[in-house]
Amino acid sequence: MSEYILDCGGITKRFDGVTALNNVSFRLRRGKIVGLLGPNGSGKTTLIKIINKLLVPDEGAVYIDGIEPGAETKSLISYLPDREFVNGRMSVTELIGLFSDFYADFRADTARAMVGNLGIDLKAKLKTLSKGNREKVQLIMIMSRRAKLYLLDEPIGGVDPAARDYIINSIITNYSPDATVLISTHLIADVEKILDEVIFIREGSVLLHENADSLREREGKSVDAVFREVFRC
Amino acid sequence: MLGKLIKHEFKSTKSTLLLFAALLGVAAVIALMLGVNIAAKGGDVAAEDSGVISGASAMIMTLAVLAFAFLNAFTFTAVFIGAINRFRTNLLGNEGYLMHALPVTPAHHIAAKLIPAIVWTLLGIIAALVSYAVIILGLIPGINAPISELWDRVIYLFQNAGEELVFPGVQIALAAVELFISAVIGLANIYLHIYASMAVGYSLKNHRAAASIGVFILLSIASGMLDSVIFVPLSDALNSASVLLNLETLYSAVCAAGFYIIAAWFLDKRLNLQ
Repeated sequence: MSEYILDCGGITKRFDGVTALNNVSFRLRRGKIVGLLGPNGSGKTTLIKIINKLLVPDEGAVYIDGIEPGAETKSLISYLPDREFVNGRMSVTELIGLFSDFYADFRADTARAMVGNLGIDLKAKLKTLSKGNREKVQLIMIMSRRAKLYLLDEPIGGVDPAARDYIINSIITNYSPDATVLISTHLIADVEKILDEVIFIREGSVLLHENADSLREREGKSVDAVFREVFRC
Repeated sequence: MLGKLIKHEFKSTKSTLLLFAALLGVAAVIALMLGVNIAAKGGDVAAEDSGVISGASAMIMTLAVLAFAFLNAFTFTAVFIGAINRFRTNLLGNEGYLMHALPVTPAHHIAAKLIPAIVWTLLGIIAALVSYAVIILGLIPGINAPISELWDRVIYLFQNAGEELVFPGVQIALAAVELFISAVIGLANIYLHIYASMAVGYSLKNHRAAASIGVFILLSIASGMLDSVIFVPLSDALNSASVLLNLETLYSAVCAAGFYIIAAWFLDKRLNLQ
């Protein structure tokens, strides 16, 4: 078992000559909630896709628990994309069945209970649910796993404040204590209170990677305030 | 994991394909009615000339034949396009974010799409063949059994097939097995050709559908060159129908393997979900 659950070294990714990520390097230890913070277009989603092998970097390497991304690392990662990723014709029960079949660490009873708490019928087709409920069901599937690394791409983007509270609460009450959670967002104020570490990313480059408390102490202000200062237009 | 993927693929596609099966069922009923009608006229295609079939019933039969042919063609097209669209949406569209996050290799993903696609297509072919057979059974000349004794007509067909339908020296059972294997590999070749084209085309950032069509044409040219350089000279040197069929199957298998490797490599090394 590697000391670091995630090790990114010199990752560079270009699209049609435009550099989306430029020599990105950082390492994450176990048991941390880390904010990947940056404005829109800064490369957060590209980086998360590369960690999950949905994109391949032009340069650099990624290791998850010491292993290069592949089928094996996907059983270690629980990934919430920044979009709806489930076939709307599936029912909630079928979705739970899919996760149960492929992930040994999936807790079907937890998922059923969380869906039930929202008042959602387990037999309901996902396309019949409201957009907010579909997003919550997807989050429930992701957080019902006992994964080693959670990659959450904009989990609170585009949802109302009440839903944000539900999502953040779901994250902190369901992730494994020895797991690491990487949350990508530009809505810092909503997640600041749960972050152990922050990574600022701008135009594909890492500006800083620091403990959240020490950053607040050093700058004498909240992470949100530091973010607004650093990324002022 | 491959078995689980295939199970979920069958579950995900069965509802759409049940609709197609219902359409084929309607086509089969039409075929049965046609077969009964033809058999009732004595199985003699000359009956129309002798005035046994009236103008009105001839028109109804023509419409029924057209409806049957349309339903068969529509169902085949829908099954084929459905299988291709399923690959695109499930592996290269938004659903790909879930599928590619599963602890499964790209090679297994492709196989899990391919096997159900072949099974559904083969079932469609078999259903269509049965439908056509019902019509043909009514047209077999020289037998007096009524359509109610359908089995007698089937026996008659197979008893005479050895002499009339198969090349000399080829056993009908062996030929059927060879044809079945050839059909399976041929379908795999067709689907993998399209899968490989999409896997390459969708690795680009823009104009992905157009790029897929371009790659499809390039792969067609490459497989055509392989055929003309290796397999055509070989087939020219042979004249046995069975060997030619096997050679054609071998050619399809080689192409299918190449397309499979291309598709798996691009999904593994050049995946570009947007």
